[in-house]
Amino acid sequence: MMRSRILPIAALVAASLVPDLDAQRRQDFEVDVHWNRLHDYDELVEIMASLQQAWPRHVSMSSIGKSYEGREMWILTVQNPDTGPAADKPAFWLDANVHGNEVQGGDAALYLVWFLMENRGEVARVDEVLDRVVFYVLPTVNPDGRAAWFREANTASSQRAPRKPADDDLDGLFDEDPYDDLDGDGEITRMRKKVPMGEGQWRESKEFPGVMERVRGEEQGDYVMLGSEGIDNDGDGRINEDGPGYYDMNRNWPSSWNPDHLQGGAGEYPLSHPETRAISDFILRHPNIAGVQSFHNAGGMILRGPGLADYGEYPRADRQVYDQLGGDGEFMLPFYRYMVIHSDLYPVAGGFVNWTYEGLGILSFTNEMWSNRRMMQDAERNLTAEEDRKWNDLLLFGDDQVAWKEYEHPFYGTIEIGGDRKMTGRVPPTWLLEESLHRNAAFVAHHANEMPEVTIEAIEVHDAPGGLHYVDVTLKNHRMIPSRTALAGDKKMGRPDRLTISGNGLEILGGGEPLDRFHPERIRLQEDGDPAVQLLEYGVEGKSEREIRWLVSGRGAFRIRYEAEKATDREATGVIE
Amino acid sequence: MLTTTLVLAGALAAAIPPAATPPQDPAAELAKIAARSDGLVTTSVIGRSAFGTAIEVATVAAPGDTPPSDRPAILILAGLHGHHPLGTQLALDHLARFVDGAAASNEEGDGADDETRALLASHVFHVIPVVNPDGQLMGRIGNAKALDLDRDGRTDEDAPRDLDGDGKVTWMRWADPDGEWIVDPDEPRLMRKADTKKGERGTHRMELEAADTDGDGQRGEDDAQGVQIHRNFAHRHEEFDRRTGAWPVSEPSTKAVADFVFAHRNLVMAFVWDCDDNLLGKPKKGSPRGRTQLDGILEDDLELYETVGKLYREHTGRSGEVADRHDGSAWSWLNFQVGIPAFASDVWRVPTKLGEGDDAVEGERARLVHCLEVGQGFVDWHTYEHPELGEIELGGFVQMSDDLLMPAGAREELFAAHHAFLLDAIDRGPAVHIREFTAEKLGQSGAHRLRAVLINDGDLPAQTATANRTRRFSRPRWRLHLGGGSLVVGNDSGQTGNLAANGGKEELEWIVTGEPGTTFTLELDLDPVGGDRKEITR
Repeated sequence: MMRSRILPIAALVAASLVPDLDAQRRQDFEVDVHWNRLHDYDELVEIMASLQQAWPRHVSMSSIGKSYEGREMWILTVQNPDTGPAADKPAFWLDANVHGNEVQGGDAALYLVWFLMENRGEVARVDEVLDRVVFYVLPTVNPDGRAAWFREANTASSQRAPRKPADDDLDGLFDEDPYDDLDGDGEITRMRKKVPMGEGQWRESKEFPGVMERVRGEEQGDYVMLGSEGIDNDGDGRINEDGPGYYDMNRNWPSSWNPDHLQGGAGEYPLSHPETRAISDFILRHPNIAGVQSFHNAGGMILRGPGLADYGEYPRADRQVYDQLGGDGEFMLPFYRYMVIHSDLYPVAGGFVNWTYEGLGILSFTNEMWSNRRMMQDAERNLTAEEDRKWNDLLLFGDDQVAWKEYEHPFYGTIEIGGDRKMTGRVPPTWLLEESLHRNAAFVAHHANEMPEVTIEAIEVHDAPGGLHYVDVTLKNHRMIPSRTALAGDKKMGRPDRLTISGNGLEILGGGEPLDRFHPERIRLQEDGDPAVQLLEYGVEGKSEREIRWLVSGRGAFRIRYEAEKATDREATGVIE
Repeated sequence: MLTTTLVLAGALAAAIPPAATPPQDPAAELAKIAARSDGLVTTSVIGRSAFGTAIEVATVAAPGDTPPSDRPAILILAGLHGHHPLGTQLALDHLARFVDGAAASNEEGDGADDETRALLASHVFHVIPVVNPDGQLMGRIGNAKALDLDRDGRTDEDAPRDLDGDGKVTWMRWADPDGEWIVDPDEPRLMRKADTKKGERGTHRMELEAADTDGDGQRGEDDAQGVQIHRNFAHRHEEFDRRTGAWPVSEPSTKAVADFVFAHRNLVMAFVWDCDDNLLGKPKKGSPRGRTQLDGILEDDLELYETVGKLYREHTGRSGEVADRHDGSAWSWLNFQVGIPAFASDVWRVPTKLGEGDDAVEGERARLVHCLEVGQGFVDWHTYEHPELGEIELGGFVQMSDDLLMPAGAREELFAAHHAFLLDAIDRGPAVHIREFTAEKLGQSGAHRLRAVLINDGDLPAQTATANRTRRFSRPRWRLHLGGGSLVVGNDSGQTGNLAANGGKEELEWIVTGEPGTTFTLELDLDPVGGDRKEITR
């Protein structure tokens, strides 16, 4: 099925030799992917292989480890090898689908790679990004959950966890009482039972048959809702109480990690899953990562930490950058809100973007991709339940629901099974999907484009008393994100940026930050270490300049070198005449 | 005062023989014990250290009615702090005593030491004598991981080291009017901080024996001690202290222990023979507060820790006030996150007080006396030409494992006392029973009312308060088998509340019907401690 959709590479290469007609560009794709449908794990891997085959110099595919069930965790590394080694460029980590059911982020992640590569060499802004930064793209953090969500009968929310079994009900058995597709229709829907009028809390909508409404006030109901489709598999009197998992890999990261009894789903200890450990190993091996996005799927939010109120606030300087990027995101992503996890959503201990910022000092966001507000072009508010039904009825042709069917339940007797499908409520319908992928991918490209770009902007030599000289070097960061976040500086994460002067026959007597432009002698000298090596704990702030002044004895040529973990290293030369 | 010290030192000379020899090869010792254990001790590798050395667990169990995986299991950890080989030796000593005890019962038929064999047939012990093999092999506190404490891109490149070639790392002191230290006027071998409030002024600087190896103007600032395994567990871990690891359980040793512990749900108690202690001092009380990890024992568990602490002090004769440390320690993780009572002691330490009355010496003075007597641990101050500081003095207390200062003869008695304590401590536990299971006929209907009383006769609750909080273990479960009869009122299975120690009980009631002669069976089960079963026929 997949093969017929992605055209053979050889044919595509041949086709691209046809003289390019400007009007046709960006319509003749080198890799043809249907972005209006979702792709399961195997299909994602096929798309990745196609991207790698189409652009082997720019896109490489490698595995960072294996999931619990043994699936490869493939990542794509995307960069321009002609503009320098990947390790010396700021890098962006993009992942998705840590919750196995939150699938569309995986498609969005690959859409970004596809879009950038399809437009490379044609759109200057795309080249600017690709020439300067590296993308590490992991479309699914939870390959097992993703595979199972597509493969098996599920709800919109099931398969959130990794597949490692857990004993949720503490009976010594693992995953022994999951949902059951009782009627064998490939969907896990709901169970309802008809009762005499007045004995139930629910009734069926008159306007939209099949839709269940909770009764209010004096109204009378004639249905009892019995939860998701299932039986008491383990004979303990409870239904569906021990399904697959439950762990939550987005509560398994180190910063502010709390054990399971304080944070449900935390796992035994930080990075206790093969998936989370493989990712952390990779990220720690790549200290050049300076931006992170982790796609989730419901709520229409651009989220940042802190995850817990106890954490306090992030440093003001970092908050300003977050606010700028978050504001741009709200513009690019209609109906999304830029929010703080613990105060605007709910407390999270051990979340991924909390770790990447709070533990590693990387400016990080999580986008929750689908929002019901996206249903209309101009939604100032959420649709009412009635409007929502009407929308489903008229625009989805009612296909969001499975019609209720009678079923003989071993415990409840005669019941009915039906209701929302798994594609309802958390993923967009096909005809809204591609737009969502593009907007989110564009936000990531913007975020990546604002990773630090530091240049040696100016070198000046001035006379100092006693035949000595001042050497002034100005560093400039052209982008929003600092080369070291304020938090990284506060907590002394990673290595400080270094600015070094060297030259034969020169003696470096001191160095530091000039304090007064009219008094060159007023310098805050670096206290410890070799004065030729200036350690910049706070790097170079976003969209700003920073000056370092050395007091030098002797004459001759010198070399200035700027080194940073999260920005490209630079060199320049000067001479004291 | 100096004379007092010397007199006292003379008085103690007979009591303190030279220091004990450190263990050379715990792995070989373990293999020997296993080899002569007649199958009682089996070893397996649970992981590899940062350096790649095997981390072994020794499992001790005799054949019994239930397989070891279903018996109450006891965990013993040692060798986390690389300078604490004594814990490792004690862990191995437990194994040897189990093997010897069981062998004695075999030889003498009815068994002079049947207790050992009975214990090993009803329990299983998992002993990890060297959690941090790197530390012991490399003489480090932590593991083999290279650290960049001074964040200059180079690792372990400027550690305190032996400058004068005497094989020891000691202290440097030199006169400096800006220094905070003075030579103790009562005992010139000791240094102390000047008490500026009393008009004293510092005369000296003091630093660990080190030179500026990496030429950055600082001495000994990038020590080569690795990540401290005993501070790398997941309870109240210090996040941004590089020596405690990048995150909780970041190190192979801690991960190996954690994976082992979580794979053994039958663990009921743990002992940690390493640098931490919660048996000598009074356990600190903690109160739950939101999502914060507890900083002390829950009130309902305090009695347990106090009782076991008292038991320990009685057995070993040890005393002293030691603060129980929580930050990343193994025992606090086992207690607060795994939910099993965990007891920790450093087994022995250099005395902090020697002598009585006017002759008593305390603190560093006591340490000095002890070191002089065992002939180790202190070097007289002597001049040394330092490459950066010029003429200074080297000397003072040696950077070494305190364990090596233990008098050799003390070991046997101390280990025997610890083993006796271990056996006493594990004797405590919950014991759940069905005290009553009765049937009462209800009129002429043929229906019966069944009643049961479940009781805990043990001296621990069915779950500690902490275990109840961590929700990792199930409470006692019961199930009523109807034997062909029918349940008219009640549930056929359930969990009890947390049956309290020493008589905590719960009553159950059902109404059932059945043909005459129907047998109703009630089962009660508390994993892995065991349970009870009673029948009634009507």
